[in-house]
Amino acid sequence: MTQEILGQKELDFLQKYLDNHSPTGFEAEGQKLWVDYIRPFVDTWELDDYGTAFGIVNPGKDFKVVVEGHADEISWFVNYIGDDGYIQVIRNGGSDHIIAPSMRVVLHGKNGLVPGVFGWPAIHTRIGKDENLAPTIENIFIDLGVSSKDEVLALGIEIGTVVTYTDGFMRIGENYIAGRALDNRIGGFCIAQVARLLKENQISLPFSLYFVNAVQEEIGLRGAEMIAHRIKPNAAIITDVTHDTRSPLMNPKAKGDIKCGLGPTITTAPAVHRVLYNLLDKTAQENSIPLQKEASSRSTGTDTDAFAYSNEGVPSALISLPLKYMHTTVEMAHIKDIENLIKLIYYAVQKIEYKHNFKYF
Amino acid sequence: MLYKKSNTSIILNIFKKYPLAFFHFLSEKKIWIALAAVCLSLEAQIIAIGKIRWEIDILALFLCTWPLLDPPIYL
Repeated sequence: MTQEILGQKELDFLQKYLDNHSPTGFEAEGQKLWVDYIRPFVDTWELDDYGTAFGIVNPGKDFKVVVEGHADEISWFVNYIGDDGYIQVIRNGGSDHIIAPSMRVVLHGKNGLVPGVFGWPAIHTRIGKDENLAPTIENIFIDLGVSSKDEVLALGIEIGTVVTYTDGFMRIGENYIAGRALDNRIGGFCIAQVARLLKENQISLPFSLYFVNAVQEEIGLRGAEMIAHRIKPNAAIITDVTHDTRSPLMNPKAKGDIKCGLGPTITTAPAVHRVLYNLLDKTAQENSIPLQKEASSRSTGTDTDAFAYSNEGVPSALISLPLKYMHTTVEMAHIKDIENLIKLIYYAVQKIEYKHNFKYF
Repeated sequence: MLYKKSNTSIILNIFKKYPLAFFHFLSEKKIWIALAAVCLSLEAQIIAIGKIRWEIDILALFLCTWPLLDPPIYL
């Protein structure tokens, strides 16, 4: 396929960025990579105390627009270490216990990364009442290849050690990428590409544009809550992922009809400001960007909610990347959708005016 | 994208896990919310609690006193 925006250099950064480990609450390594990448394309950058990083184009203006993604990935915490050395975990974000057995992990110990596996009893041994044994948060366990609690502790593992999967980036088919934590490092990647394109094309904007890579989304939109109060933006465009509902076992009637390859989505929800939504819709039409639409009851489940309901209310909108198999280690996205999402933000920020009127009437 | 179990799902799981001990936890806030949600056929939303407090109180009073007369087996 012809890649209009993403060349090998950009895909190399994407691979590096996706393959790093940035679990919720421990995003620093990923943020360093992101800041290093975006630094040439912005005038300045900052970091808040919890790790949210943001680059600013045109700093100091009295009208501020945010484009945002979140930097963190779901993971596990060590919660119990048995005398026999087996480890029980609890969630750090919406980690899926169903997919845990047989996965390879790394534990972020005091002395560095320690490899481990989620073990599981063999099919041969699951007989009688155990024939339909299924993974639950209570019965999954990590094996570090040791035989006592003391050995686990000696490896630098303790209660609270964070655990991530090892699966990394891969190209799959002609049009897809797959990997861990596309939710939502792909958002941080996309807004970084917008910054790059604005710089390369020497686009000047009449307002301060903030590229925000927020932490702690997966446990309740917390990084966005914090940074929204700090920046106090006048408008925010959030980017996250959404479900491809045309893959097996999904229900488009219940979850909305979204398919990878048909473009990014924009969402209607109470938190989504209609003026900004319409601006995105019009931008897509004017630039022939394919777009899908979805609706959310009550909340969007993204940082859009955090920005919209912060301060005295911030006009916010959500652009999502269709994704297959969310919160697994093989999240899949269509490259053309990624490019179109970047284009949509790139053109949309150019349509926002200084002191844009967001009043409904 | 944030994964958040629906309140209804949380409530049903609590009932499934603690069928008899349910009353024992009445004084805990989560159960008050659960009770309100089930009895009023609403999804428990923190924001709604203030509005349905009166109904919860009457129902909770009934449910708190009833087990004293007929203690659940686990007691």
